[in-house]
Amino acid sequence: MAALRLKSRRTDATRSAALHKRSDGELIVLARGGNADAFEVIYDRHCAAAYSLACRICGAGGAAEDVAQEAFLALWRARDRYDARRGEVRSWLLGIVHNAAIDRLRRSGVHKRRRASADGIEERAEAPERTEAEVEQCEQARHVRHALEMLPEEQRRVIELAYFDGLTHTQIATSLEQPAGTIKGRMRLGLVKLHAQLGAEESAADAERVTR
Amino acid sequence: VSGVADNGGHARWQGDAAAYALNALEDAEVTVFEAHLAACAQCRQELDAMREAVNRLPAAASTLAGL
Repeated sequence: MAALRLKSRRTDATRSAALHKRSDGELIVLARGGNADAFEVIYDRHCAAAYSLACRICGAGGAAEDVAQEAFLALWRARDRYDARRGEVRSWLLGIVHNAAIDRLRRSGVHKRRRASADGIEERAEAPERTEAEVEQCEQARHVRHALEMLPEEQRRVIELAYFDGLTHTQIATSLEQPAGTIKGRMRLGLVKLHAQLGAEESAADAERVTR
Repeated sequence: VSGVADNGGHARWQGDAAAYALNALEDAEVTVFEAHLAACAQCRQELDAMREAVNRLPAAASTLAGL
């Protein structure tokens, strides 16, 4: 994803270290003023997560890279519109990745899930800056997947169909032949349980680890 | 469609908050929900909790993607 890297001025170590201490929200504000270095720090923090999510939806490889690239470009273009009250930069970015990945699947007419190919894994392993984040994600993943598995099947299913398959609640309702209100209710019950299971404290620790 | 919700009908918005956090609302519903959200602290709080849960989901995705 070398093309993703915004052309930036060479920064001295002190300035770069200072940027790395900033929160994403602060960096976005700096990026608004045209500070590409600030945006690059955001990129470095979240490129692994963005790529991973794109892989999950599109399959590993060129398509996922394109999706991640598009998402960062969209984030850059939309940086003036960022509103902290509407959520974290990371969530916003992953929402963009998600939508871009789903759009791409729809355009290509391929909806089924794909696993990463062996090629894709090697490709990712070659990028050393991703490895550390991926290891952390791997540890977290076990925990999150366990929490998902603990949910009643009907709740887990609607969450997965919405988040990983990119279906709207209406599409899910049609697919499962259930009223839309029921689907939304299941989503809510499932998310409430996930939240309780995973804990806000740990979620905050996660965000800290990933974004700092 | 106003931003004012009576207590009796609030469960409907809770479901919307969950679907919104999952990017699963229809476009027209997003507009309506966001208008409501601007006027409802309870829903903003609800949405924050939903988002905390949703924010954890990409972690599961990374492992499923092949690690």
